[in-house]
Amino acid sequence: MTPLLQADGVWMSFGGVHALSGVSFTLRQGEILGLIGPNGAGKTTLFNCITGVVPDYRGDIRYDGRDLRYLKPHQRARLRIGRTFQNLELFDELSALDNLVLPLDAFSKRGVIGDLLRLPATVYDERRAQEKARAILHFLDLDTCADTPAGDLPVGLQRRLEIGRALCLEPRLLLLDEPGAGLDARETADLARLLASVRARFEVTMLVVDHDMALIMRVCNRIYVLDHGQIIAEGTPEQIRESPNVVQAYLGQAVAA
Amino acid sequence: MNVAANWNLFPGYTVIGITLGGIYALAAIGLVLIYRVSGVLNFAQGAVSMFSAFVAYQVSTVMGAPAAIGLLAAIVAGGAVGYVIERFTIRPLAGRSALSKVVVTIGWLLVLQTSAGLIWGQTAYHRPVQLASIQGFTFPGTSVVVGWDEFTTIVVALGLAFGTAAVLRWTTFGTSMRAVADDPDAARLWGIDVNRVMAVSWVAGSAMGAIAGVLITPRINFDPISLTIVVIDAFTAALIGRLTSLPWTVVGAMFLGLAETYPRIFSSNAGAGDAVAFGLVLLTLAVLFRPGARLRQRISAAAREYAPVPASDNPPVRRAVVAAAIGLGIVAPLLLSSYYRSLAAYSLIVGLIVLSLVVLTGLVGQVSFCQYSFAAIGAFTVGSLVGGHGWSFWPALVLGVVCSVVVGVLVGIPALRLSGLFLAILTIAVALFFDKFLLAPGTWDSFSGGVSSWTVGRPSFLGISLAGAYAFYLFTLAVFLLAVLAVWNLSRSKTGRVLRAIRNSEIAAATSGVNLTAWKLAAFGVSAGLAGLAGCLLAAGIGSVSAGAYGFQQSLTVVAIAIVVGVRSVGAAAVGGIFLIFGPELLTHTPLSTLWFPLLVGSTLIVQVILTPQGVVPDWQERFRRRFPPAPRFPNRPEPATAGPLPDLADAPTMVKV
Repeated sequence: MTPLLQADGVWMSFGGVHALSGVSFTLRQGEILGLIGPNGAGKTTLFNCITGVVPDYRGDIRYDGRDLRYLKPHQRARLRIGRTFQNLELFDELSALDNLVLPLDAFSKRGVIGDLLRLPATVYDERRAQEKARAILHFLDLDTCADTPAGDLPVGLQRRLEIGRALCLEPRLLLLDEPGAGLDARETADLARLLASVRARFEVTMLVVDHDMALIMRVCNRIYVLDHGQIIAEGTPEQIRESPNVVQAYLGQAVAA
Repeated sequence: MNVAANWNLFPGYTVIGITLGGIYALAAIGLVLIYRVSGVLNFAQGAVSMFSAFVAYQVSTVMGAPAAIGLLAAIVAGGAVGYVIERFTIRPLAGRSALSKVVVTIGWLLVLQTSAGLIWGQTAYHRPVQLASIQGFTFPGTSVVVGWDEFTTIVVALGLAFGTAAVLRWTTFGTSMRAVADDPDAARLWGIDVNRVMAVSWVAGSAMGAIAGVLITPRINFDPISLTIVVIDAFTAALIGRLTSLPWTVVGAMFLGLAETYPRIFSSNAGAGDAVAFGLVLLTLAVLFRPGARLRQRISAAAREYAPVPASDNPPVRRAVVAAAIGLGIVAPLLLSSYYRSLAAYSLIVGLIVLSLVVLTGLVGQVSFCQYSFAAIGAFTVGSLVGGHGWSFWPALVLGVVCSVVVGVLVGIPALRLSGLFLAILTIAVALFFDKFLLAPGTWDSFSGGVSSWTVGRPSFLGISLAGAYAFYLFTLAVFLLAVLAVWNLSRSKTGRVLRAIRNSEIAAATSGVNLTAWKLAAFGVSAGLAGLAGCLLAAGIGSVSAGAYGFQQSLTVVAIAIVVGVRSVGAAAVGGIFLIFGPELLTHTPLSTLWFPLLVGSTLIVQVILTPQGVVPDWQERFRRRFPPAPRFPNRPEPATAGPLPDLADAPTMVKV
């Protein structure tokens, strides 16, 4: 079976700084892959390369056997790659429900003319999208917040809503950028449960970046460790915990020795 | 015309171009100084120059003092105006968006321009303020004659330009100015008196504008309007310097001065220079200038202030109000004279232009100063086809709207890369390009009609003649209501949601599958199409089309009014149109004249931005909504969102997103 995502020698530099220097990894269909590494290791940059937010990487990224290089971000989204953001990029003014409707809007083919005239087909589409978004909202257990502007929700719920928005794309690949950042212990436990039920409900492959080792160890099948733009270790959670490279990257030379 | 012979003019025109460039450099440096320190793009810079130049005119030409005293008076006046603008209208806006500050400077532009027109005459000939003799010397080694006035201008301009750069670089005060420019909050923590630094930058920047204004009087038409729009030349030069680099600003200004002057060697068309300036703005914005991440953020946070009111209102009440308004709209003109009926029709047509701004500013968050240029495309398409080629009105109308949509999309293309305020500069350049070049006699007479105007006449609709004032009024009412309905549909459905989402977070919208390019261009197209439709109707309403009625000044006033009434609500469009047409009419019944209208609009704008940032109509709607709260959509919700006052979006911290 072809891997869902295959990165081959991806380089990315900003000015003289190499954010990624030759990263290669494979993401198999259906697994939950963890990506860990200290701050500035290049994790978010890697996400940005995969989703097309930064266009000029060197190397090769293949999604389902297809080269992503010349695709714009919205085209990649339409290939069903969903993502969340480390710093939360919700549509603050829109209600929680509308945040979920938006990806469905983006997928519908009806344009401005239909909206101007409010054609029956447009209204029908809109109702369908609302129902679907409501189902996702229910899955996230956010029904009571449907009308609240996303910007007014507490951070824990915002993180959940953002995952929901990505799920509205019916993603085959879901990229989660530090989903546990800013969450307390209870919210983190909720998050782990949510990720498990996402896995159960949706046919989705996940790539999760986080600092929270407990979370990563708990939800991931396999883990890559990124440091200074390079993969320094790969393996199951148990293997990673033992790897001297990882300890050194996180805790420094002296402690490792 | 013998081109070869005209090359003899080349050296002389070079001197003229460099002189002009020196003046632009001064105005532009004032602009950059104010922008860097206080973060405000001062659209009133040209107006301040103009006003100060008139003070010099008053002192030296009218009262007979020496020109140097006049210049001094101008510098004092310019500095004083700059101080007043900063202290009383910009400082109270601390923490508010960059867009509201820009809107205030637009208010000042109108106020200063109109006051100068009222004091010194709008179009009359004014004798320029001549600082030095126009006698000159022959440049050593050549046969080129340089006037002493030109020489003085260049020396003063370059001296001040480099003086400013030196002050910024090597003095303590310059360092604190740069610190404030970088981060006002951090500067405050280091004990810098931020308010004082900002005031000084405004005073100094405006004083430089004043000098530029006095120096330029012998070189262009010395009247309030021509001098005010020198701001676009200053902007162009400043943009070439990326609004930060003073040396590059000077280079840009010189380049611009020469680029505007040389075409006159080949072309007798007075607008050729403006066309070049327009091209240069476009080129600069497209190639040289890409706003950095920090800029972009400031502005996207800014756009939110003008966001549409969320559609959570009380449908039965709203329906009743709308029905009453429509009933009144049908019946009321029956009680009016035929003259007032046609005024009512025009106010609805202008209402369409306000509506086009509701789409662009309210939904997309962009300000445009060229809505009347889009209207001109509609009007002149209809004019040339009906008046020139004998088409019938209706197919010409369709084509007119289509053409405005196309041009709107073309203007929108730079918007994909630029954010709000830089696009606003571009739209000014577009408006001036239309005004001074495209519609000027001699450029494209088969479109603009040259010096004469096109006769259109009133068409008939489904066999009913629209020649009568009331028939035409009812027709425009129907068109207006349909357009309002369409825009309202737009704002509450997918398009509205997508555009709001794009404004909130472009990156999230794109990664959710939204094609940013397509949606932004679509919004520009719809907005330009509405304005074009208004132009077509205006052509039919007036019965003729002539240049001059679709200029930058009109666009400016309509933006000011749209923001006063509120671009967040489609209902505001009607109010805006009525205000714009009946306001001047009312003034004719008072001791004031219609000339006072822009002054009143400008001052209202300034006060309103400070007091009720959303605009009058949304503010009123908000009160209304609190009076008649809607039933909650979900019974289990703790409390309806409308129970309390809406949080002032302006006060929301803008640094939440990194």
